[in-house]
Amino acid sequence: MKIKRDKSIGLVLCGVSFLSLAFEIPAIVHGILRLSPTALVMSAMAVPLTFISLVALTIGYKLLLRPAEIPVTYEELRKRVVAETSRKEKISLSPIVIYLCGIDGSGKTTQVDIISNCLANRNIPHTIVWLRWVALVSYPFLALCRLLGYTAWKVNKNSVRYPEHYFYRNKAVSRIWVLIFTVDMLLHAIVRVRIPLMMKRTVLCDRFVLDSLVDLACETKNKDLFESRIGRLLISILPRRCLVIMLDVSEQEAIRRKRDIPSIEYLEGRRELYFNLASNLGVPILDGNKPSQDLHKSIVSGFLSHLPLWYVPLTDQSREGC
Amino acid sequence: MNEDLDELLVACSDDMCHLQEPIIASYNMQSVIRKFADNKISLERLLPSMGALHGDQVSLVRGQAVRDALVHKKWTQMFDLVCDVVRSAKIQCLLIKTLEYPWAVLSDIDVLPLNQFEELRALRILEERGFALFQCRLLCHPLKIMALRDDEPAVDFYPSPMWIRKKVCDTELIFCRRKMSAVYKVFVPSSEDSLYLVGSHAYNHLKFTLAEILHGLSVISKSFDWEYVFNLARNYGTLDSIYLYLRLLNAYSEKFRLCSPIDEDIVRAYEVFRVCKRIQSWIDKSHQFVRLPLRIPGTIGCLYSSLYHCRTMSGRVSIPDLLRDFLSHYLMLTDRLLETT
Repeated sequence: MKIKRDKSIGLVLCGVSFLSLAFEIPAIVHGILRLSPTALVMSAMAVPLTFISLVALTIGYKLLLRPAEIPVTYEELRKRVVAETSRKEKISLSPIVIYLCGIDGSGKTTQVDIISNCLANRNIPHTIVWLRWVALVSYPFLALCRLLGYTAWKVNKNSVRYPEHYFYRNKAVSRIWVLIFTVDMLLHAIVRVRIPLMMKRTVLCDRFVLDSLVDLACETKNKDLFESRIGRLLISILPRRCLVIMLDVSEQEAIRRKRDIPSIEYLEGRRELYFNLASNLGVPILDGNKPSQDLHKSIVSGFLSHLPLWYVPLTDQSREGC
Repeated sequence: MNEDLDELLVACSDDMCHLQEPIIASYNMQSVIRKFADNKISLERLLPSMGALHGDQVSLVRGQAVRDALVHKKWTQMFDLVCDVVRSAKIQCLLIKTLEYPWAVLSDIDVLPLNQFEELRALRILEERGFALFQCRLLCHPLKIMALRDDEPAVDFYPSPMWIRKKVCDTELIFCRRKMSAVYKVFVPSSEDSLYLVGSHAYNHLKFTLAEILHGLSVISKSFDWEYVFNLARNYGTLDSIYLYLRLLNAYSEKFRLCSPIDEDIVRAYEVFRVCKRIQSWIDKSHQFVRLPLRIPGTIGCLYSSLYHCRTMSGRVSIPDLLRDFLSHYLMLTDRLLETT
């Protein structure tokens, strides 16, 4: 009796989904070919419906043609487990993202350079990316903000110019900024991180989404940004195989190291946000006050030595260097 | 009439309820039998109250009670066999979703192995003992396997605590808090995890039975860690299921046991979340909340739940996993459709 029910429901699902696909697919194709705004909107609306129809079709097909319980042998299961295990092993050998975050002057760029040297000495293909300023589609918006006085150039004590953003003055502006910035970051992450990863290159990130989140939280004065949907979306941009390390340094030491830091208050606010973010996401924090070689040793012993890529033999010329 | 049947069911099943011994002569026995079956309660519990019955009615109930007793006996034998396999081969696993209510009619035994290798070991032993292995056709994990032998209860292996593909917890987390069952000498989840797993599973099936309610009430103790359950539900996007389970436990106890086992402050912590507010408003609007079994409307159990769960888990799991999570909710609706047609 139940089998009959399954089959009839499967048949109904298949029929309905076939019918709806017959309308939806031509609508999408038409929209793409015509390239008119109305047709594009129609085709965009048809995409989720097509997805639902495809799911219904799959369920209907399975109800119709497959038994409720599919017999499986131990040997098949063993093969599945072996395949899964080898896939995981393959992943562990594949390139990863090594991402250093922290306030200005914490030594990220220095450490990224040292790690880059070490990878180069092992002939491991890698790319260094700096992803703090990622404006692309947001330039028109920034130009408008400049005209409206939400951004300005300032000069610090060391006579170095730096940009300052006052998006927090207007709720709508701050919301739009966060959204547009996220789009920009997404585009940059795809082009500069995901694509190199796909091309089997290890990516060394000197600043990335977490730094951007801290910047955004400061510019919009929204400390709950990390918990918001957009904050979570930004965090989800981080690839799965990503080693994140936060370097922490005292404000005084950071000011001593870098001349272009606006003020000590600027660092204090950001440092607190970094701590919050690190504790929420379980990001390990290393003491950036240490000399760079000592810090590098801590990074190697704590993190890099756990990565398979660290065991690629050094080239002959570089044995002494690294 | 339905409410009367509920009272009869509770009076027969719950030793701690305040209801008088029922006069069962006035009931339609077919409905009574269906009620007990829907709530996973063995009809054996009705036998002591059958003095007033005679003729066909007695034989009808007795026949079903004998069948329930047989199912229970087979389940116990299978449970012993699984425990024996686990103990002898030292397989690292937990027996989950085992209801603490002794008169519950369970159709399967659920095993949560520590990892896939432990699962393979257990499956190999079972296959050697004549079990056939099956997997479900729709959306199921490739390692969610059902071991079946003749007409005996099935042994279900879960690769992780996931109902269809909706992952509700991490295996390691449950293993960290496991405890040894004093009777069977195998590991079972802690009381908190047990309540969490049973609650989230029942919600996923869009139905809470009396057996699950009585299980929930029996695992709650004074030292129960409510904060842990809350955090677990919040982290895995299952606040709605646990909130509804807790409200149901409280409402049931207030109605039939004249007490309230869960502090209002504990339940109130859940009501901050929008999905729980929606459930609260559904409870407030419903004419009679404590129905046995309690069927959850599709809008709450599927639509709101899927949106809330996917919003919570977005960014924490991969997009294919999120999609499977989402679809799992709607597969349950299909399941109910199959059940009702």
